Amino acid sequence: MLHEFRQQLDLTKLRCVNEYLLRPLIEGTAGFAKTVALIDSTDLPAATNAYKKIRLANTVRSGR
Amino acid sequence: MIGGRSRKDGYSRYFVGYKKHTLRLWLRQHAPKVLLAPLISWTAPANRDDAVFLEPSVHYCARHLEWTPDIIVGDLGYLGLAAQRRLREGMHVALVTKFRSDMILPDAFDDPFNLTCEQGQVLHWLGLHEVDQLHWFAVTDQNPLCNWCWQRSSCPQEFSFKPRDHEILYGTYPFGSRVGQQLLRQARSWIEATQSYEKNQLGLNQFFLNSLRLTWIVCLLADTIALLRAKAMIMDPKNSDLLEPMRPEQMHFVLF
Repeated sequence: MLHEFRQQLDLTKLRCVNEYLLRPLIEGTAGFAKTVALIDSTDLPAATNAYKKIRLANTVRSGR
Repeated sequence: MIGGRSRKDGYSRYFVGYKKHTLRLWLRQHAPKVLLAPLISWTAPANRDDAVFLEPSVHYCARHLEWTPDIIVGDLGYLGLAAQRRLREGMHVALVTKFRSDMILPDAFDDPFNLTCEQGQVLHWLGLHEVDQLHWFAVTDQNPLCNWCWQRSSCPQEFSFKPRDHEILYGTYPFGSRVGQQLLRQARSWIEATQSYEKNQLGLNQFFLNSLRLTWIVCLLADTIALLRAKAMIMDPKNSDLLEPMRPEQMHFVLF
């Protein structure tokens, strides 16, 4: 279900939703002389654990 | 997509993954607490330079929101003198960044924080004259060196510099001015708390991010939640602390 939800989510639609939510917040800053914004980036490590080398476990020989 | 990150205990210098670049607006209408709302986010492989997202972010705001912030505070990753100049002159947006230690100082500066006259008297920033596009600096000390200076009779005691002489040290808000330092030291530090909210409380760093498209969706959804939260906090501010019953109470110590 989550997969289907994501399939139908278009990035443009998500951007539109965010813009709609932003407008009243921006209008609220009109009463201030200056508006301040901050820009920064945050790290999002990819799911790479599956590709880690896994050392084979020692097994006891079955033969005599 | 191997990206570098700032040094932190317990983390390696490099990581494989993506970066979420976000321009956030400081919502001053929410007086009780600091509140930042995401204006625009970009998700990119971690090896992309931070600086390339600065100008598109401002242009996006201008085109889609018909509005741009007056001041943007960024770290050294967003430093770019040419871009800073374009934003200042073309869009009237001031970018305030730190000064990189290996940059060459103009002659008027002893260090990035202090502008001095020829004889070494510290000059303080008076402001930017918008029409002339000149920064004015003057002597404001109570007991200046000027009283003993042999050039006093011919000295104007006020000096002007063009913002374009150095985009960081002058720019729109000079790096060493009280405003510049306040923005860099006080305002910028709040970005960490906002990122922590997204990564730890919304769980961005626990997602199984195995494609750029998925990362884009997750990041934009995180922005949606942050915007809804900001809207709720402004429209219906709660004065009561919901965590109050859970906080430890102070003991009454009677030692003597």
